[in-house]
Amino acid sequence: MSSIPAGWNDDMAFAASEHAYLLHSEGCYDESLALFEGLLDLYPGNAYYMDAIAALYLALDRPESSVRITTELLREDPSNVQALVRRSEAYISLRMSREAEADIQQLRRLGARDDASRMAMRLLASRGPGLLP
Amino acid sequence: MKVNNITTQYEIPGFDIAPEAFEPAEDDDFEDAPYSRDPGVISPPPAGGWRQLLGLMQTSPTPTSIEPPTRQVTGRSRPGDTASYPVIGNQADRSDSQSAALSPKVNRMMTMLIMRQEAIARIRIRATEGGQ
Repeated sequence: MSSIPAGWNDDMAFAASEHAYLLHSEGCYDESLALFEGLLDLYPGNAYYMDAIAALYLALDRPESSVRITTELLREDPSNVQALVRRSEAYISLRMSREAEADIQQLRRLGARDDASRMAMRLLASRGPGLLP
Repeated sequence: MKVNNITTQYEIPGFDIAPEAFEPAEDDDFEDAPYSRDPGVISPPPAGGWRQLLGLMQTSPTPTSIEPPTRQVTGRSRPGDTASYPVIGNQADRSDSQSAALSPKVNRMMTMLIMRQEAIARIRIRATEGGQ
């Protein structure tokens, strides 16, 4: 069971989330991650915090951690488009093309054509100019 | 000297328009004309202009971008969970034993939030002092 500080309430959670979001927008990824991790500790399984942390792991060049948390999100909701986008990006960074391709296929099946096309382009670009005709 | 308006008069040979053609006749009443009161014709452009209208000011989402939080998505665990937390200490009076009872991640978050509150309070005090 998690412990919660005295005086903590929904308003404080929202204010802390807004602050974490602003820090992310300003490029202060470490500080934003610290806040979101604290919030996730208080609210385990919160999809918004997990998604934000997955994005921050990518921004901080920690794709393995991003894969771990997006896989957790997808276990809960296999049609989570954002989680698939982030995980395919993480797989591309890890040069795990086959896994990235599977996530892109899943995006197509879910009807997220724009996301699928964008990630397919990213995958193609990551393979380098050697594979282009 | 700065000139803001220049009036130019052109004379086209062999082309004469009677001045009265430009003056509206007394019986000209356009009140009932179709579209004369159409608000769409005179309504101002939407706030933010055409760039906003076309969505050009929106940044395209990337794998590292996140959505802003809403009250519906914050402050709760996964749907269906019944949260039950032991309340630890007083926020304003955080002794070492109280901090130790919180997880390291929550502790770090609380430290950051308290530091931010203190910084805001200092700025407000300085602004008040400056205003007097």
